[in-house]
Amino acid sequence: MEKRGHYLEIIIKNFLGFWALFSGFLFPFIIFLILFYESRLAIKNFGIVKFLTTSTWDPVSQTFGGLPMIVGTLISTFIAVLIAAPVAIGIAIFITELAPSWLKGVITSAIELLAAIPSIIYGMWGFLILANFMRSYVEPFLQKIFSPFPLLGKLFSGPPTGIDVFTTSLVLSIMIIPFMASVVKDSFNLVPSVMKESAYSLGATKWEVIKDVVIPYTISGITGGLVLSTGRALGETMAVTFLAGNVAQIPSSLFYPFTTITVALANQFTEADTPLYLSSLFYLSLILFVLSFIILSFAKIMVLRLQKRWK
Amino acid sequence: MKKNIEIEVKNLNFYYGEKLVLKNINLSIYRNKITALIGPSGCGKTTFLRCLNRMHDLYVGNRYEGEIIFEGKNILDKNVDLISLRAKIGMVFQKPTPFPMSIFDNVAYGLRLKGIKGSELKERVEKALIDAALWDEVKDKLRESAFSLSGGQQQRLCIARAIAVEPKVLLFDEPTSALDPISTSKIEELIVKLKSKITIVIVTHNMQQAARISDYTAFMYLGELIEIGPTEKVFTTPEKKLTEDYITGRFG
Amino acid sequence: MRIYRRKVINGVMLFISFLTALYGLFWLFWILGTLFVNGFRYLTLDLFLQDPTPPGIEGGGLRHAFVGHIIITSLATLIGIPIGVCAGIYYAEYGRNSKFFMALKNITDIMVSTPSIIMGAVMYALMVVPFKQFNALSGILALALLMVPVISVTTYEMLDLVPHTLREAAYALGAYKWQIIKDVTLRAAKFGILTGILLGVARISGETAPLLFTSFNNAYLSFDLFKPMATLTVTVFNYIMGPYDYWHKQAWAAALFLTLLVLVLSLLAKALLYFGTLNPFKWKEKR
Repeated sequence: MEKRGHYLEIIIKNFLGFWALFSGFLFPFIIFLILFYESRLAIKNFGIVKFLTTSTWDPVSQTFGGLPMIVGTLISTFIAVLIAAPVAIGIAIFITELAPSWLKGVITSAIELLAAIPSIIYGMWGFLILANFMRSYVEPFLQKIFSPFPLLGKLFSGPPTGIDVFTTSLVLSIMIIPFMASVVKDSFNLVPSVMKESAYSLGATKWEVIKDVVIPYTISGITGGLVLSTGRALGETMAVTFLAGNVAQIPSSLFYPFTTITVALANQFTEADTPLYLSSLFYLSLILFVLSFIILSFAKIMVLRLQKRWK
Repeated sequence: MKKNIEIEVKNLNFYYGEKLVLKNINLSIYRNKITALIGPSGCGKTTFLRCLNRMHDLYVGNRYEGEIIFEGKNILDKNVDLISLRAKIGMVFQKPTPFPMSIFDNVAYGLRLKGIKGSELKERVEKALIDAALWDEVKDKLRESAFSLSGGQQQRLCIARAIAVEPKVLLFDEPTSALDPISTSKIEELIVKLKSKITIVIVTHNMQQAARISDYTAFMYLGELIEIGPTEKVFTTPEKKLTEDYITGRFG
Repeated sequence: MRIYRRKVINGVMLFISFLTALYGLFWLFWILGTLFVNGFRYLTLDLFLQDPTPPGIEGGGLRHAFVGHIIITSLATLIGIPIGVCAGIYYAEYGRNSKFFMALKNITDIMVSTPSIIMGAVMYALMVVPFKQFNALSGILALALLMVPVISVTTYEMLDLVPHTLREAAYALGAYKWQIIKDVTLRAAKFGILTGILLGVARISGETAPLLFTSFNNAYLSFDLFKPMATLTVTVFNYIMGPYDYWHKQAWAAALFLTLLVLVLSLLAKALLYFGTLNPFKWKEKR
């Protein structure tokens, strides 16, 4: 009986340990190896620097450069985060400091619902509803406002189609607001109430307490939340695929169609008819994986740092 | 006598939600004196202290009844401006609460809110730090983070921050309970020194501390004020049996 | 005067924060609203019970996609749960004092947010290229791998909430660690772990990207795991991109169903978590 328990202990520990090793190490490592192995042909043909700087993506001449996809991914993510960040912080402030408790529950649930909606729903809604609205109303309106200005006018030039950088980034921003708001909200909740009370006891207003105490205290958590959402936005596929237009060009205006790494993968994986074409797509996946892994690690470190301070 | 009263509390009831936690409190807090609030934990002494600068208003479901007269007005009135009230009645908490900024900016914080700038700001920060007996220890590192200070220094920094805005009253909520004996005695000295300019109300669980520093002592029990009087009298010849039992350690 | 200005700024900033909350609600209602308006009408019995008609001929349903979706997500769940739960238990019970395993736990946490399309690409290389054909099994494995990090991280977090004294009490009785895990900690954290599982299922049941080039699509009802298999999400994608009006209608209905499914799963997870925290072992400090 004693012995049996002892052996079981060893067996169970090792069995569980294997899966722990699998999910935290083998799994990401194998993904990396496979993507690396599958992209070897493209890496050999185009190298690293050349692939990252070539803007031609042409299956006919078998020339593949990742620049349009990479730039497209970075631009749409950047704009999405730019729109989402102030909104998410505002929502977090509203939930933690402002809303009466019944409304707090309502808003929190609504934000969670927004996060739970599958991304393909955002995509089809964007494609069938929002794109039309943008084309008919918002984009012509923005053009009218900004066209007199030399630089801004350029940014909003081109035919308003609704299938472009602007709509894509907007939908992407709606998708990441919930994640961002919930991370920011969680770090706001870590601020000890006595800390806020000390500022109130000096005669500070609510906004002054938020600005001078709450936000500086949680700056690493906020940054973590922003970076985490950046990581999510980078890899978002379905919403973007409907709206980007899938044109392998570097957009010179917000109203131009473009492409991202995920859009290229979603549209072309099943069409890749030569080994080099397929390998180039794997190369793009590898870049996406490494990029998002680095960014997400950075976010994780920021959030851990904040939590450590309060434990 | 009436002239020397800074705060007068009349028939104060306080509710957390439906629960009555302070029952019909009546007492006077005298100008430039130290009033200590003692009593077993849960007796409502901290709750009472937090009524005096309306800290309870930060949370929903709290309710006051009665009057607290300060500068001739009832501060429990609905239309009282809490921002200026709290700038006049400051507070120091159980644990040090330095803000995430430099030592200088911590002390300057309340002053900047009031719009004080430039050389006046510098002077008043320096004065506050001197008054808080911290100047010599920090004068060479004013730009460093306040977190670099020790616990006792942080607490004195918080006192400096509170007195910089020149409040009339300063509320202390067990300010030394998280500190070692040496830091504690420094802070006690400081509090005694401050009373020449500021009226002080201090909540303490440490009866020796109350006896050492305070001029008046109030004993609270289960949300009621049992007895208040000059410290010496309360500690030597208390009027109520309950007070005597507590002071002699006959109940916990 | 100055205090007046400060109060105005305070009011303006707080109002802006209120507006941001409205902004979030605005999109939520717009999206859910259109989904209901467009989808509810076509959410008919035929949609569930009929196979698709040949392209261009109105009518038919999405039975093949519903069946495929159920097969793929449930098999993926069956594979993903044990792996995720095992890893989570190890991190919480054995790996807590090991820097190495805590680092692995953090990496797992990072993997939760890895782009899901990557999983599709990997499974394409591993399972589709060798079989020379898109197949349901590759889609199942892609989804299973996608849910492993979600489940193991939640399992870890829920076990982490079980107080250490509880384990020590069991140790003091001379129990083996696996007995403590089985009889004490897992029991104390069971609602929490179930929450993690539901969140994992919710996550994969709305996924499209990893299935696009693994299980691919199929116009017919299929039960063969080594052949392409239709899913709701991929079918919605193709129908929306397709030219026929009735495809769009069916896609709206399917999308509504899918969203409701995911929302119900998330709500269930939340309800379970609530019951989980009712558990006397887990108390949260509240102000």
